[in-house]
Amino acid sequence: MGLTNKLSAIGDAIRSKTGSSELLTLDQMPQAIEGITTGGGSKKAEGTFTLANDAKPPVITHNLGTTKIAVIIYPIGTVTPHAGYRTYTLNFINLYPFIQGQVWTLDFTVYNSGKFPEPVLVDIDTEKASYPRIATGQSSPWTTQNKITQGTFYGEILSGYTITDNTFYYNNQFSSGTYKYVVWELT
Amino acid sequence: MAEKYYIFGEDGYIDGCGTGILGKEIIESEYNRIFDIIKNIPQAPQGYQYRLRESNLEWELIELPEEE
Repeated sequence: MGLTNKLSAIGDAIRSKTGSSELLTLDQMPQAIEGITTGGGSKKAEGTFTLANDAKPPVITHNLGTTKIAVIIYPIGTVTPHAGYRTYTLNFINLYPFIQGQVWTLDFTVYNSGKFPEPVLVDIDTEKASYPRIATGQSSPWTTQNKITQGTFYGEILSGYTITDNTFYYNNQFSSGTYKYVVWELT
Repeated sequence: MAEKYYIFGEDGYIDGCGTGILGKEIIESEYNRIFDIIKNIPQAPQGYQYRLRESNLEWELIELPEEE
């Protein structure tokens, strides 16, 4: 790889993090990198729930207090998707203060149950109705094995939840079946 | 840390069960029994739904409200 290609690759890497499509000069790159805010997360709580009927998930307790958390809920075992009911969700919730555009990288593995024709992971609600339901900043690192080993997501504050310091409650209905939930504390 | 088991629901019905911290804690054998019952929920006729009564762990057929 020649020097020009290497610089282009660096520029592409920066743009992938900033969401910009602007070309960068060499002088602009350090500042652009400085402006990237990222963080990680550590898994703090997980469990399962089984819904007898299409219904709202139960109140989930994480006992992390007022902090930044991300939650993923995904089916395990057999879930029959029903129109109008959710099967997958990965959301950032309980974000204090509201942070938009910040990126967290979470390590996790989600396997498709096989009941779905293709991965249909993320259904992100946002506070602003004008936002697309699939967050523009969300990368989709699904592999051909239908699993995610790592995800990078932009922080969005969400509607559709009832949140207290230590619990959250998802207000939308899920298809009957068994789901796993994982809660990360973001750092 | 040992796994904890829960049921959740309202009005005397069990809507589901799970692990983690979700609702009313039960012991593993109760969880396994309820999980099996839920996984074998009978097929309800159109416009009806089976709900699991907590007092006797039997399914009750309930008519769903009409959609507005």
